[in-house]
Amino acid sequence: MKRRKFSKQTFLGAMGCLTTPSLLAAIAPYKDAIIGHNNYTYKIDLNWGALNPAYHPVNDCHEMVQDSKGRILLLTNNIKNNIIVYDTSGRLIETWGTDYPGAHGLTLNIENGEDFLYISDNNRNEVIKTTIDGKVVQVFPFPKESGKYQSKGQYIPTETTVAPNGDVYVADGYGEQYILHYNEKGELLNVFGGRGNEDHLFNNAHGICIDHRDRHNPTLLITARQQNSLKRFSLEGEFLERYDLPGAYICRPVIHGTNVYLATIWSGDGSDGTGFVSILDANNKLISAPGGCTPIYKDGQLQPMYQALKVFHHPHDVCVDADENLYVAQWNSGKTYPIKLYRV
Amino acid sequence: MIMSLRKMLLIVLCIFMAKGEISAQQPSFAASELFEMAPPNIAVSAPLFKDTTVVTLGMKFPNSEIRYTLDGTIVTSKAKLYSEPITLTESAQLKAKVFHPNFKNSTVRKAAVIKIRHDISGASVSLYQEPHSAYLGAGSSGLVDLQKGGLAFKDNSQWMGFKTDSLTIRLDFERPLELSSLRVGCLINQGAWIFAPYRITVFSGKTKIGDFRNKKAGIGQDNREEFLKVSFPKSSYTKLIIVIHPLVEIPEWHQGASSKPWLFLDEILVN
Repeated sequence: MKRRKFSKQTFLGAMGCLTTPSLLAAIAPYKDAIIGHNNYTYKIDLNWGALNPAYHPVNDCHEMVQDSKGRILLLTNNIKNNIIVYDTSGRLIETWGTDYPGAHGLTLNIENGEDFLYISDNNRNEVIKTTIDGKVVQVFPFPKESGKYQSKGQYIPTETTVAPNGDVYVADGYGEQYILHYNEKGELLNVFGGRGNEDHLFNNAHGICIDHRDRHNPTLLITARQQNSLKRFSLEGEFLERYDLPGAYICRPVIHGTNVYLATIWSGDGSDGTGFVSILDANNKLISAPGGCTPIYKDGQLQPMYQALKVFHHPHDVCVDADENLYVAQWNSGKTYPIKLYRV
Repeated sequence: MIMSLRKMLLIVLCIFMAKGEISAQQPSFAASELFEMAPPNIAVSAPLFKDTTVVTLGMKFPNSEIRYTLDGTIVTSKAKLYSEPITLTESAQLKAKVFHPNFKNSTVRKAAVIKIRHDISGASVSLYQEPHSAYLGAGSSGLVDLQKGGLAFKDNSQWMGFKTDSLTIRLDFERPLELSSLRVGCLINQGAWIFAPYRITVFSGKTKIGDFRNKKAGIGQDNREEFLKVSFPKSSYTKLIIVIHPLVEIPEWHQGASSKPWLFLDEILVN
């Protein structure tokens, strides 16, 4: 909606130039919007990656990653093209994928110098590993052997992460809230978590990643989205600590440099049309919230966050490129393409 | 000569525009004017109060200001500027908006605070139908405890949730009260299949004294808390019987069409 309105305004501006050049001045009052806080501020490109929906449609834009070639991959649950590959300027390179009706989680892992993708599919109730061009190489099916599930339908994986040793962790974020730990062959090694409000349990274990910022001591960061909390676990599944972000319904943690980036799908009281982007520093404190209110800590506690500027409509994932620009994929936003944020 | 200059300018501009079309991958930064401020946060110390209540408005965003009215009138750029928490001693219809020099002003956010005339927390409340086990609220006495439930109804200690054809509630007051109306606090969250009731009748003994029909019950509405008012002849009452009728079924436009809606109640006020 916003995108269309903007292009119209630009067009009218251009028309103005044609008829009366003096109207060039009319463009001058336009100031680029800048969002975010502290050193993490951004300009907004609403037109990035916009394609003709008749040929390259999206439903929800669920997740995005950048591959070794620097290309940006978008995962959508539209089976006409589950994966849309862009360059960083938003130009279409290719599309593939028609077999992922519940395409939700997209994780990229480099194995022996080759990029592989792990797709968590909500509808297929399994995780599919593919090459970067979409050839299926492995499936992590419904973990019947865990003994935690009565039927396949109870298992609804939302996200994966791969440890340095090749072990794969799957978050059952829309199912029974377990974290399933496999070796690279797909043999189940451990199950932890589960539904609940205690520290070691989850209410919507939506996203998971390896936190390798402490090089010698990698751990897991897992979101408990409904609890507005990011939780740290050992690779063995032991709860270590939590970072509460009241008012921020965080989707999945993405590590880049010393920061953690988290798309925040709802905010404040969880109303429709809310959300922003959360950026944590090396100490896991919220230092910037593009689209959100100013983060303020009192006695070490983050004061409740809420949306301040209506830029986003339910951000679902954020991808950080080598230039520290952000790509924001959105859920239930009226089938819009991602928004790119240029770091100022 | 001038004409040709103009023509040349036209051509140059056309080329410029065409080039702009082709290299669409150039970033186009969105202007501030395009974005709207979110409405202010509203926190109320007690939405239902006997003496005073404090309203706190919030928008932590540089250069933003909040303006508000308390009488339900439209909030303009000349409305009162919010600077500190507002203490109220009377019922009010609060409307507040965020204004910003660079961005579009927010939409209005509303909140109602109600001064209680009669504290009936000592009344005996009898429910003729049971609430659903997932939404027991604070029990039947929770309907007269002057506590609101808020919009987040899950794991909530105030909201009672019912799936019933009709709900009958009997109020026995501690002493006779001079009354002419009552209000039933209900929740609207149609995405969660919670609808306002379509009819509320009030009886004194076997005599029907009040009958309210809610024409908006089946219309699509934003999530909110609502008090539905039933008026009746002014008189002294020691007990009242309230019969609440949820919609018979969820209307056709909704994904839950033809199933039974939820009815959520948190409070009953008398006046």
